[in-house]
Amino acid sequence: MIHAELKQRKGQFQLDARFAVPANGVVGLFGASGSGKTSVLRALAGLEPDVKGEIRFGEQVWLNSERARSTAERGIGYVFQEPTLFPHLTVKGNLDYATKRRNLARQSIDLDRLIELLELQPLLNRDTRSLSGGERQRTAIGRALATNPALLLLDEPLSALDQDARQKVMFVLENVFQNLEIPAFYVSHSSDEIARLADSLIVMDAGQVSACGALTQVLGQVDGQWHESEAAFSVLHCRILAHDLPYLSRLVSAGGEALLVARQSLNPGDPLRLRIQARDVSLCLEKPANSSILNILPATVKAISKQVEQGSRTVGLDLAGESLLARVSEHSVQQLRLTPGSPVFAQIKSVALLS
Amino acid sequence: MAAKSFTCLRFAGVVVLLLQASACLGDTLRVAVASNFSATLALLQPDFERASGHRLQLIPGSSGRHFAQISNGAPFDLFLSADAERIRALEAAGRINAGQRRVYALGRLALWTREANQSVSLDRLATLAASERVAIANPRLAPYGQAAVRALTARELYAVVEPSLVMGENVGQTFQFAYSGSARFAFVAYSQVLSAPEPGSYALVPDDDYEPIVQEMALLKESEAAHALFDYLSSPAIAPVLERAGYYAPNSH
Amino acid sequence: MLTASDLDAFLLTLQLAAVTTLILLLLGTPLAWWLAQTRSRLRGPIEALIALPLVLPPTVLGFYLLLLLGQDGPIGQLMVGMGLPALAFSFWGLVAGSVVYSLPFVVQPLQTAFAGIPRRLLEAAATLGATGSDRFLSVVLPLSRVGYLTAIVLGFAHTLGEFGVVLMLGGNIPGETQVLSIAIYDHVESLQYSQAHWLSGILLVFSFAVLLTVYALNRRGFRVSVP
Repeated sequence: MIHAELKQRKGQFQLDARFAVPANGVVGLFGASGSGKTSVLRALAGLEPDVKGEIRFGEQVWLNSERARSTAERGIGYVFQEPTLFPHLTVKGNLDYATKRRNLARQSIDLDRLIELLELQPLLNRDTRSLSGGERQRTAIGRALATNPALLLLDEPLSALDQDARQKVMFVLENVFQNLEIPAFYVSHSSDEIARLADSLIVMDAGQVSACGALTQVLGQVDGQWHESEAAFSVLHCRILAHDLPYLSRLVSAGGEALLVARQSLNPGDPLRLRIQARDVSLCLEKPANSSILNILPATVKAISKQVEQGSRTVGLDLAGESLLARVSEHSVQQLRLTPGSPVFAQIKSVALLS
Repeated sequence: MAAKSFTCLRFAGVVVLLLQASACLGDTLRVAVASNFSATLALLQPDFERASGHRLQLIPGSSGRHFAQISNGAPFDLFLSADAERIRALEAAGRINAGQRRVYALGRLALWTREANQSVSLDRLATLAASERVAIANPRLAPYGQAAVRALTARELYAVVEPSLVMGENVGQTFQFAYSGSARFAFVAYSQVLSAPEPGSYALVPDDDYEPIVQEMALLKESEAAHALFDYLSSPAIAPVLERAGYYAPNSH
Repeated sequence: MLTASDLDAFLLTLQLAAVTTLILLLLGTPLAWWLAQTRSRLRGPIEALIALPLVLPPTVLGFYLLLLLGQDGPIGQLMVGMGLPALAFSFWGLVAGSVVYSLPFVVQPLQTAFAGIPRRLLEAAATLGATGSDRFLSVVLPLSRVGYLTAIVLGFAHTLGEFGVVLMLGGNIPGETQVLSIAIYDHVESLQYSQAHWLSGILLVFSFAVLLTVYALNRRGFRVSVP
C-alpha cells in the first residue's frame, strides 16, 4: 500500500490530502486544474521540500516528522508535463543517464525491451532538440522507466501533445502498463485518459481528496462536486463476444450484460473499456420497444445524489454488479418516483471505446 | 671623460669595500626609488654591486605611492624619495630611526620641448599661441611642480602662462605630455632631459628662480648591506655621476 | 629587447592570472550558484558588493586592500598573529587583491549560466537518482560550459590587465609582485619607450590570441552534431 498524508501551504493554496491506495496498477489522480493533483505528485516525488506529513511506500518511510528521503533515494520515475530531456545529451545519452543511476535493488527492466516497447530505436542517436513533442515524451517515459523505478509518477504526460502524438503515446503507455508491472500515479484532467488507464482513482478538489478507491467504486459514487456535474462518467469493463452483426461488434460486460458497439478490429475475447458519460444515460421504467438506441439495459437504482445541480441529479445504477451513472432531471426523478431499489432501464446513447 | 668617471666609481667602490670589510656579502637590497632618479641609480648599480657583493633590486615609482606602501609595511631596505617632505613624515611616524635620513641629490629644473634646434627660454612662454600647452607636474604632489610654479612667479609669468598649463601626476607623466606632443613645453627634471629618447631642445631654469629640489633618502632596515648602500650614495665619489645625470651632489651648492 | 626582469614580469603575470582564475572558479561557483537560486533578501546587497570592482577605481580598491592587508591592517595583524607574513607586497597578496578585483567577471557569467538552467532539468535529474553533487557535475556543468568559458576568459584577461590594485598592493617587487602592466608603466616612467613597446606588444598579441582561441572554441561548443 501507499499511504500519504500531505500538508503544504503555497500562498492562497492549501494542500491537505490523505489517501491510501494499493501499490500496484495505475492510480489516476483526477480533478480540475488547481485542485492539487500535481502538488500531490511532486510531494510523492520529494520535489516539494516544504511538504509536511507522512508518506509510506510499503515498508519504506519516505516522509515523516523526523526525516524526508531525498528524491534520488526514493527510487521513483517521473514524467513531467513538458518533456524535460537533457539538451546536452542524445536520446541514447538520456536513457544511459538513467541506467547509470538505476535502482539495483529491484529486478531490472531490460533496456532493449524498453526501447522496443517505446519504439525508440530510430531515435537513439538524435539530438533531443530535434525531436517532435511525442518523440520527446516517449523518450522521457523511457528514461523514467530505465531507472527501474519502484513507482512511476506521470504528470499529465499527454497534455502538451497534439491529437496524433497523444494517441501514439497513449498506446505506448498502455503497452508499458500491461507489460511492466510497475505501480504508477497518473495525473490527468482528461476522463478519457483516466478511464482508459486507471485501476484506482483519487479525485482531488481544492487541495483535498474528495474520493479515493478502486476506479469503478469511485466512479459509482453519486455525491461530491465532480459526481454531481456534467463531467461525471462511468467505466464498464467488457470483452469482445462476436462480430456476427453487420457494422457492429457484440460485447459482454463483466456482469454478463450484452452490448452492441460499432465494429471493432479486435478478436473475440479481447478486453476493452467503455467510458459512458452520465449525461448520455437516460432512464425509463419500461423497456421501450422499437428504439433507435442500441443499448437499453435493465438496472437497479443504487443511490441518488442529495444535491440538485442545474436541475439535475446523479443517479447511481447497479448494472449486473457494475456501476453506471446517469444524469437525470429532478423533474424526471419525481415523475418516475426513483428511489434506491427502483428497477429501471438505462438507455445508453453513446459510448466511448477505449482499448 | 668616461675614463675619468670610471676611475671615480672605482675609487668609490674601494671605499665601500673597505667600509664593508666585515659585512656578510651577497644580500639583495630592495630600493624604492623615485622615478626621476631610477635611471641614475641604475647607472651606479653595477659599480656598487661589484664593489660590495650585494645585489640591488630597483623599484621605481612615485614617491607618494612608495610612502603609502612603506607606511603599510612594504619590505624595502632603502627609500630614495623625490622630495624631503615624505622622508620627514616617515621619521615623524617613527618608521625610521633618527639620523637614518640624508640628502642624496638636488634636482634641477629644465624647460623642454620635443622640437630640435629651438632656442628655449622661459620668457618665450609669454608669447605662446592660445592652443599651445605647457606641462608641469602637479605642484600639490610633486616638488618639480612647485619649483616650476615658483620660477614662473619669480619671472612674473605665472598669470600669463596659467591658462595654458596642463598638469601631470608626477614629473614622469609631465615629460610624456611634451614627448607625445600633447604639450609644446614641459617643466621637467634636467635628469630626464639628459636621458630623453629624443634630445629635443631645452633651457635650464636658473637656480635662483626656485628653491632647491632636495631629494632625501631613508634607511628603512638595519643591515650591513643597507648601510653600505646608504653610505655609498652619500659618498662624494659619486658626485660626478650625479652631475652628469643632471643633478647637483649634496653640499655642492 | 626584453630583459630578464621583463621575462620575469611576463611569467609572473601569467602565473598570477592562472592562480587567480583557478581560485575564482572554486570560489565563484558556489557563490554564483547561491545567487542564482536564492530568494534571500541578502542577494541584492551581495550582488552589489561583488559588482563594486566594476565601477570602483582600481586604485581605491588597491588602497583599501593595502590598508586591510598591510602589517597594521586587521587582516595583516591576523596573519602576523598566526605567525604568517602579512599578505601585502607578496604574490599571495596580489592573488587576494586580484580575486576581489576580478570576482564580478567570473561570478556574473556563471550566475547567468546557472540561472538559465531550467529548474525542471535538475528535478528530472533528481528523479533519475542523481544526488546533489552528481546533478551539478552531470547537468549543471555541461549546460554551463559557455558560462564557464566566458568566466575563465574574462577572469584571466581582467587579471592580466590589472594595474591599479597591484600598483597599490604589490610594491612592484621584481619576481614577486612586478607584473607586466607595472613593468610597462615603469618603462614609460623611466623613458624606456622601446622596452615599453615590446612588453605592450606582447600583452596585446597574447590577449588577442587568447580571446580569439576562446571565441573559436565557443562557437564549436555551440554546434551540436545532428546525424
